Amino acid sequence: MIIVMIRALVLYCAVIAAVRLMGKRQIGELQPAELVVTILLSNIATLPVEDISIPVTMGLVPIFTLVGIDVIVSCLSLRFRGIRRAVSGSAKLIISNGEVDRRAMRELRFTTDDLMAALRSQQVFDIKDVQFAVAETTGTISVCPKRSAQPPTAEDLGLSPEESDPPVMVISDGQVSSAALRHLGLDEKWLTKIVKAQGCQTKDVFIMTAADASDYTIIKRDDIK
Amino acid sequence: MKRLYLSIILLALLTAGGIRSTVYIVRENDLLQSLCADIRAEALRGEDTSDEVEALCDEWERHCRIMAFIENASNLANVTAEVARLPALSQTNSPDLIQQTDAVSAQCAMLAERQFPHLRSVM
Repeated sequence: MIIVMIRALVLYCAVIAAVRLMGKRQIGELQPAELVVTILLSNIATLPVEDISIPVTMGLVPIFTLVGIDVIVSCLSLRFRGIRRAVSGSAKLIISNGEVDRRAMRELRFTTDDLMAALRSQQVFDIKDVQFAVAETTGTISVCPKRSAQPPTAEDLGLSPEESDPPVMVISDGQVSSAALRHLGLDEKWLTKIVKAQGCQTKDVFIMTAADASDYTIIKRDDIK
Repeated sequence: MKRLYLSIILLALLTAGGIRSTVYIVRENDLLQSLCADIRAEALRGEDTSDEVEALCDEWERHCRIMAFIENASNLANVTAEVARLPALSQTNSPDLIQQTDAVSAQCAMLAERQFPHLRSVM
């Protein structure tokens, strides 16, 4: 039993390393090639754990071979459009100028129910409000509603609001994020001064977010009930 | 870019490891086959085979430890069981020694063959 535990630990570390090597894209929406690698990884990793007569090496070698190939292919896809199209396919227009392309839908084996479900997931409930819809290579549908169905923007209203980055987490559960301070162009001195002004220390802060030196929010541990 | 370099290094290491393991298995199989042939020849001549049998057992033990990283444990256990019968047969000058040596030789050859990348094993 201890062998199975150790093997599970080794393969857990290996799969974590493999997924990290594949990068952040892997964790989000999967391209077809990445989906294949993910399915294969999960299957390969379980074999040496379940059967102790199979050497762990026989699990590790295919895992890292697949991930290595996947990273190289995705790097080649960045450079060469042909490889990208061969590996990931290409996005397909299914609604253009408000008209549904039935041929494209048949090609994608996309039913009208699938289309309506995809539109609803994009908060579009009436097909006549869609100007343009694309089936992405990840299988999701991107929708561009008609101008008449879109809420007015600041530009439409003739407003010019000041552009600013959203606030970042400066203190999380008493832990100061130096990277966040650096990003804001602030330092620990400023932080200590602000926190002291609230009558506490950094370790007493549950959450502190800041957009700049004058725009910040502090939630103290005592405030949490 | 860091990931690409890491992947290329990883694949290069795996390829090198794969080639090295194949070369090792072929070389080690040749050695085991020659030891088996020596035992067979000496047994046919009616000479003492204990030194060769001991050499074969030691060589298999060493080889088995390395093979455990790439071969199914049950396949190795089968050969180990066959090899373990050789010393007793050698000490008693049993006529079954030749047959047993041939069985060990064939099983070692099969193990080596399994790891060699033939088209039939790749497909």
